Amino acid sequence: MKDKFSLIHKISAFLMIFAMVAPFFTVSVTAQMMQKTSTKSLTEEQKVRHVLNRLGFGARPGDVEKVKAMGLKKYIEQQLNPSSINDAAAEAKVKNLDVLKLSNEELFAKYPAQKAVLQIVARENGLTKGDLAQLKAKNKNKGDEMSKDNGAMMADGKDKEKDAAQMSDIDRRKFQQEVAEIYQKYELGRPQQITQQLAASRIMRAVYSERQLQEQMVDFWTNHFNVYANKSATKWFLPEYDRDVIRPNALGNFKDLLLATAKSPAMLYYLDNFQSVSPNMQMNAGRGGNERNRQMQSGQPNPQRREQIKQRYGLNDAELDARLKQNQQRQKQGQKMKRGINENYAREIMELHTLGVDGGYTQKDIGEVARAFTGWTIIDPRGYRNAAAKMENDDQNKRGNRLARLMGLPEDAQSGTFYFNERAHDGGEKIILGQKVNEGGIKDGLKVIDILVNNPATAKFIARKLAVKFVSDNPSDALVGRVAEAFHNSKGDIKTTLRALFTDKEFYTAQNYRAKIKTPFELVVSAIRTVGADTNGGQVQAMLVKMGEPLYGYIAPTGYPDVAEDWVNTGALLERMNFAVALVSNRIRGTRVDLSKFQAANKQEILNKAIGGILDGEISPNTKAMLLKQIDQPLIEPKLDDTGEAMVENTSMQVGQGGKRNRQNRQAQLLPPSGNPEVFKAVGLILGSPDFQRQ
Amino acid sequence: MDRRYFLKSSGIGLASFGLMSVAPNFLHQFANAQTLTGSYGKKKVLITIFQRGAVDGLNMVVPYGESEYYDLRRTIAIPKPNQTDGAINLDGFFGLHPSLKPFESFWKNKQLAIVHSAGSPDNTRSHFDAQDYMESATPGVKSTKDGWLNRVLQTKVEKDASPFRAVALNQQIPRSLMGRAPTIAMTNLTDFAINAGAYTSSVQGGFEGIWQQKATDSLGDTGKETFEAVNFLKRANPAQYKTNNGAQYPNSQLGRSLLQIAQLIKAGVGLEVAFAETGGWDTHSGEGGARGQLANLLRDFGQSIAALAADLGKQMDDVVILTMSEFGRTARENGTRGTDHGHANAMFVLGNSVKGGKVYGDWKGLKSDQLNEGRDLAVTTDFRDVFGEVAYKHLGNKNLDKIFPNYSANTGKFRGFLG
Repeated sequence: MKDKFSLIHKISAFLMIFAMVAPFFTVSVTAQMMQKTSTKSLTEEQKVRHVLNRLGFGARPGDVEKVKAMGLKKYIEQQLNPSSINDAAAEAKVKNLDVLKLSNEELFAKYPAQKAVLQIVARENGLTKGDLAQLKAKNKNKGDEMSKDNGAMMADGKDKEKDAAQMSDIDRRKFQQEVAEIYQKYELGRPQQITQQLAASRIMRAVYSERQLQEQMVDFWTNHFNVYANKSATKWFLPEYDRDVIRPNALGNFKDLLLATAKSPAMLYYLDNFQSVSPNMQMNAGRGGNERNRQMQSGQPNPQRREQIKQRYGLNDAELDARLKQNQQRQKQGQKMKRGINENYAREIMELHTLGVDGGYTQKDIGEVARAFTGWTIIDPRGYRNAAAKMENDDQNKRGNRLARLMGLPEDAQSGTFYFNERAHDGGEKIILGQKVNEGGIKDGLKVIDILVNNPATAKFIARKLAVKFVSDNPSDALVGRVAEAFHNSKGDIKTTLRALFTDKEFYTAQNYRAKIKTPFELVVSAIRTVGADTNGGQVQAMLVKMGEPLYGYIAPTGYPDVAEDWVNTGALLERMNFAVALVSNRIRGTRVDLSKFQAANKQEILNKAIGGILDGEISPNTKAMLLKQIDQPLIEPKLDDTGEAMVENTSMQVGQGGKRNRQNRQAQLLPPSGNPEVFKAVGLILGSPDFQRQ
Repeated sequence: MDRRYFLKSSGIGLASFGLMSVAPNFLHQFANAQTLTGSYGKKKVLITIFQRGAVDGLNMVVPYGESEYYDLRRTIAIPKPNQTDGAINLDGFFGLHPSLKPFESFWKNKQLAIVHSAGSPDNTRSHFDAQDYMESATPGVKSTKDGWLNRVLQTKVEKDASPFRAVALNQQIPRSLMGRAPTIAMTNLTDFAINAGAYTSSVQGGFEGIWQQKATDSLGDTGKETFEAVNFLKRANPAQYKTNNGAQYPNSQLGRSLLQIAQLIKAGVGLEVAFAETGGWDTHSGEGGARGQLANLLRDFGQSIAALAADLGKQMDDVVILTMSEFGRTARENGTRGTDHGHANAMFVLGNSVKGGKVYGDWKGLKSDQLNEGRDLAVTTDFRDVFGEVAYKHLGNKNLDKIFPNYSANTGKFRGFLG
């Protein structure tokens, strides 16, 4: 009786398992049919390619042979220990990008925002604050034709202020020119160059670095701990974020990485924690306020001070009185507006950085974690405002110095660095995920990080995300479990965790081979690598914008998604194909490719060479048949097929005179500069084929 | 999944692109037949316009009936109606900024409704956060992956959905449209093509061939569809567009965006949700009153939207235009004759199905104790209830709980600007 029961039990268990496995089975059969491999395991050479594709950004010419000679195991071990790999060539490529070396304070000074630079313009021209406000307003008004209309409408206007608010195109250009001259005069850079240079460095390193896994992990963690460059001051903190937070910890310990992000001005700013203060904090109570401030606050500065202010801001008595009254009102309002706890970082550190959304925390936990992180802030977080003043005259950075004194900082405290402000910290006891946190001061936050890293939900969450990145959009629970165990047992050692992943049999199954859709970043880097192109990273970021993955350009803290469904849509596919065309026709500024190595005696051989060199000869029969057919089509004559589409297309091209001229101009500009157009077509089509979108 | 939209509907809309004169006869007839009887032409369309930077709602839709308005705004107030540069009277209490003159006839024809004092329950005064919250429609929650418009599409599954179902006239897909449902972002319709210079035909032909293969995953279908879309648009020849009813779009970013949205609608490409945006509304200084900085921006705004509505004509039966901005501005003008970041704002809803000619929403007033934190117009309508009403009544998507997670959206909260 007992035996019988257990037999039924076994059968039903077997059926259940089969039902779970069956979908995989079907997929794997399709994948195998496509690749014409009859066995379930990969060949040694396929394993090498798989590792080069997944641990890195695909093979460069000669890479497969190199790894084969070295042995796969040794290669993986080397990649897990990047410092053991000489990377002088990649470092040489990025050595001229100065933002990579500058501190946040130096970046504030060297790449100030336009509004900071405007203060110099104002001071040099003896302008008042009011003038400056108008100047800014004028520049902001960018309506295309409207300013002209208004110019005419306003001709009889008498109101000087309204008149001044209009600005013709010429004025605006002149204004922009003057601003540009200031930047030049002081040898300054525009703030957007920070992101541009950093993105270029990421692209170049991914292309040239021998430490391929390191670059993949930098991409992974940068996305995991996503910050958005264009949230006001965040961009000034990015080079430090890449250099001092992500890179040193990319293959280190997860706890160190988490702590580094928690203290990083980039994260503190992006998720608002720098503003999060204990509601009990007393602002300026009894300290720092000097006689002058008190006078201003009371609305009655002494006569001498009145004269000073009038002169400085170009006001008359009535205007000054109005301003003082307004100041008072604002202060009253300010007192009503409470500064206090901001929960954003607390929520995301649990939902996105550690436990995952189903990680078992409550809204109460969020509030408690937020309390623990009060006081984790940034010294002079918008340093670019002071930078210009400081640059012009070191003594002018009075506001910053006063602030530093107020906060009890040393004289040499640097703008844009982490600072724990004890006075803003909520020192009370907290209960987080059932554990008491009562360490006091900065140790409260450190304890929270401890609790989160050691929670099993974190191990599982990170393991799953890594498995999706490196193995498949749908990794098995068993695989995730094995990797999570490695994470947990090693106390968050990233190397150990990855080793478990890269030695797991599921990593090498046929169904996962050339199955994952490349992200746009992986696509551009792998394309540049496979054709051996040379790049300074420059315009590549612009291509990533079009394909939907600008680096440091994702608004939400979730980071970019990492599964096919989110990358595959008509608009994005078209841009992927256009990228391939732009690359092979040398139309990407700063990126040059020489396709002569694909040159051959005839079209067929060109195609075979390209298929061999780019896809290792592994191409779906369908794509291959189509390529063979397409390569025989004439290059210039319009395509004529039996649908009649070409006829319509051709007719419509002739309709618009202006359109036609534009098109011709564009065509002249877009011809491939040299080389065999057949090669251009073959390589372009392969890089834009479905087969090359997979890895 | 069968999404072969264009095989079924190709031919629709050729007329609207001015191609009829050169199109072969059979196409001519087909296009005519489709224009008259095609069901895609009847598709409901929502066009959202984001005024980035926080427009000053109190000078856009002016509460001239409040004496406090004139106390708070000494230099930038819009004079009462019938005065020089005065507001355009709406209902005896509110008036339009004079730059919005093009809206007047829509108001009188009851096609234009206004929701005033609308906004977010979250008090942030950060442009970034407020835009994020509005576009994700989850105030206070940053980690929401998708935008509200994308969730509208996700929760209304369409067989044969067009690749042009959701289009943003933008370089990048805006937060509102981010998410799983396919969307297209482009700044120019003519750029939606393979671009290989003199070799374009040949290279496009090549790509079309290799992407025709039998799909083993989502790539194959999407590839096929991409070229159906490209070819459809190419045949439609957007460069040859002619506007209807004498509509004149300003040559501004917004004007160009809306013109192209009109093209897509008239071409019957299956557009359901369109997104456009306009910037420069952050008027901290020198805002101006009836003339000046804000007046210029509003003139472009008004002319662009009016041109779109005029151009679409009868098709406005199926179109609703909805405008939004992340928050309003301080009730009191500041020391530099501008306004700072505030709270509630005004939203426009325009379309033939709109119960227009009315300002919706409760009005609390501008007295110090009526204002939010003593400084801004208080929110009396959650912006999600405005979004919700448009999604529910216009697009017929009743999944309010999925579109607005963690919010008890229900039809009872609707303001009733749609029938």
